[in-house]
Amino acid sequence: MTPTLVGRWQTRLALLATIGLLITVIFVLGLRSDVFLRVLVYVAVFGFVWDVIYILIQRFRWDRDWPAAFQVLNGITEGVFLYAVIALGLLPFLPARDVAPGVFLAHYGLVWLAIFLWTQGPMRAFFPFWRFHGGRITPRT
Amino acid sequence: MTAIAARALTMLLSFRRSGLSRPGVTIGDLPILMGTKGIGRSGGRQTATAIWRGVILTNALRGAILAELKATTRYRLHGMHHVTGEVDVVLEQGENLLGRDPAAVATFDDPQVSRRHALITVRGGVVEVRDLDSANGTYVNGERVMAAELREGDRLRIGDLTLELIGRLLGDRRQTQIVTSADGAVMVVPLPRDPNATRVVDDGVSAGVVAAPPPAPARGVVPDEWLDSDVISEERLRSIGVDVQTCGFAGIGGGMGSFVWADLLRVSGVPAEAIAVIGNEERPYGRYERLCRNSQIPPHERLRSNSDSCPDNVWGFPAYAPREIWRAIRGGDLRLAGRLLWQIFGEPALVQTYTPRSGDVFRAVDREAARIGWPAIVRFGRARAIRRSAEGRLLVIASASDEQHRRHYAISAPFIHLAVGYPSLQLLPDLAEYREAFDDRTRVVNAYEQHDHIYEQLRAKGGTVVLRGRGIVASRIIQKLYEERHNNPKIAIVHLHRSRLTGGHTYGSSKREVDAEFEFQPFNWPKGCWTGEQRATMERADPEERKQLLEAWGGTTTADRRDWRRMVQEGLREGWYRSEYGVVKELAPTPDGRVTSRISNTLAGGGTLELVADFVIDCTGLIASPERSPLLHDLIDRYALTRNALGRLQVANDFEVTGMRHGSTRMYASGAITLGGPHAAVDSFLGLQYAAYRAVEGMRLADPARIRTLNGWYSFVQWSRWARGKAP
Repeated sequence: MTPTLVGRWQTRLALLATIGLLITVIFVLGLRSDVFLRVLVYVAVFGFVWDVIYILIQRFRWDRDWPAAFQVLNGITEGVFLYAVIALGLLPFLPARDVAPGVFLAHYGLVWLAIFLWTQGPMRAFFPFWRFHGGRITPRT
Repeated sequence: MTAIAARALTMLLSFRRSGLSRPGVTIGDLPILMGTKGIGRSGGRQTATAIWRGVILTNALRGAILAELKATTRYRLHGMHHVTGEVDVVLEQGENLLGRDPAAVATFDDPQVSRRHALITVRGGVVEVRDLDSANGTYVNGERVMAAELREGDRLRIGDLTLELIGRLLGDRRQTQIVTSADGAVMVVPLPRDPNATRVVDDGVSAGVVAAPPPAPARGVVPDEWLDSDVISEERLRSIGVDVQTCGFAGIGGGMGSFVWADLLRVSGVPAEAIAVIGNEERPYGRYERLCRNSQIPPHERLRSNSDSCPDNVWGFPAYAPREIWRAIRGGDLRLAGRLLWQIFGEPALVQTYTPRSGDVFRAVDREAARIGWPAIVRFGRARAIRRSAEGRLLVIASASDEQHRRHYAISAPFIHLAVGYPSLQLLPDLAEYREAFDDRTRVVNAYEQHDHIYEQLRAKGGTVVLRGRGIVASRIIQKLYEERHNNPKIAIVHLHRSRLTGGHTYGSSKREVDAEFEFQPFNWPKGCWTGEQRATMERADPEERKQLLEAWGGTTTADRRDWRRMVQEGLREGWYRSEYGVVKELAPTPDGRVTSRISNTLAGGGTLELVADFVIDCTGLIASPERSPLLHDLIDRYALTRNALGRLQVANDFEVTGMRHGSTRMYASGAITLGGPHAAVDSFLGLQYAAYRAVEGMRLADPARIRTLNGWYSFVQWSRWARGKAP
């Protein structure tokens, strides 16, 4: 898939709000803590900015594509960055003491992995034309 | 004369304009008229001998009708060549040479056709063919002939090309009637303007004619002059025995473009019975596969296509790479599985791009074709014309003639999808000139033509090949020659370029990679042209911008395949591969059976260079100009359709040919004929699927009752039916 900026935003939001939320709810119920919900919201918020950066980098690529290897790299960068700002206590409503590294890794990693695998194919069984619009959920033709 | 006129009986009418309801005699009736010759003839006396459509035919009358019909007929030869596409030759009165000679009325890209192959003579209404001692002979209706008279509907075969003789009435003689008297005197007079006047029969002296004029021409054949009208009545076609099939969706082409469109309709809830596709290939990839094989892509070789571009599966899931990985795992080849997985993960940044094997794609298409009922959708034939119908639909008139019979049928539908592919092969002008001037199709070939003889000779004797064009086809030919060098190391390649390739194309902040005179790109367009940023940019652009964007993104490129780079590097090092630069002035044969290219060498400051080689292979490609397709040419002409900035068929962003709107009917197009329009990558599997998606969406908006939106749960249900191999 060769995403556009709006496509990146829409896909990120839609999948965090569905697959991401589903996994988060399991964590919330299992560990009886709503901290995972707040982490999820931050993933989405920072994601808006990340996507702008990715699109700017993408412009330097002749094919304007974004290989799977880059997506993996993005997932790692975003996770490390998010954990760093949490640990530094820079985020409102998310004090560092609420977030244990192991649990963060499990939650963030699972959400990322589920979304990554979903977008590699199964998504298209439900939304065949999603890819034709650079990842937009609401195709504008 | 007055006496004759007074006793004259009017009869036989109307060489008329199509679409009107006046009955008459047309060239389609010639065989019937000929066939009645001699019936009831007694003692050589001219008597009323046969009744034909209510008219008593005397021999005199019959003769007069035949003479008049033939004299007002212009003949054409029309046919389809398996590689070059449609051939249409208008025959002039007098002599018409067929062959590869420049003086021929049409030249044929067929090595089996001799330079001066056959001569067609038209005198009045009589058409004769004479073989000019051609190497492979001239055949009429399957029989080899030295000379023969050709009749309407006869099939003339030279080389691989079968041409049908078609009569066409001259425009200025259409309004004519034949008036004959009881004693056999015959006159040809203009037809009165009032159509009813032709029905008046002087019943006072009924020497020959006993009834009103006959209603229709030959059964099952659409008279040519009917096509001279913008609107044709379906009812009227039925009345002359033409099989008019009504359906919801009609496709024209029958290749990959038609297939992915029909496939999308099927998974969008349209039953197979509602779809008809006119084509002349048994399998949707028939022509594509032939072009692949000729340009050195056998089934085990990989196409220049993405893993996700699956003409057998609109979802692109599972893509070809996962399918191949799965097969590798099941076959126990874990190394291959690992390599493929690494490819789809890291392509194109870390590793060369995955592409599927052509044979795997064709097998997948076979499976999908069976699943969606493709055999029931395809109607064999060749679309001759598209017209609006008087009944408010669109009509495709197609010919399903065979060696023995001429037969037309028509498909009537509110929606038409046009996917005819490339009308013909391209040959660089200097190469075309050489072929015509020296009657030599063995040493100078287009890479898409069958040219195995070159490899056979090289294998046996070695030799030098000049390649023209620096695209992917050139890469494939180099690969083939590289492989042949293992059989015979005396094979050398000279790659001839107009100029040195210094830098790659640039667009925005990005630049295309260049190495050893090749410009690299995984596919024939930057990947974002299919579904990403460039797709959206192209759709928004105005016609002039589109042209500029195509220039920026296009150009000749090849795939960055390690093996190909290695072969070229090896060739450069070992000296069997080199590049030359310059503009070819002319080609000429040498006395020892080779071919010289005379080049004005631009790098050496305009000096000349003579390049002697055993073969020249043109790797520059295919032509998509609508002029080369009689069907498109006729359509554009007839309905004054607009062309885009590249001269191709103008389509809207949803690929609709808006000029064909007619009430609630819609016509859509896809493929190479739409390049210059809303999408760059029209000539690719995924581009065809994109065009089909937009067209089907347009059709759905026009008629929501017939088509379901392929989305959400419904899409998943359809996908799971695909996965289980169940019909949609």
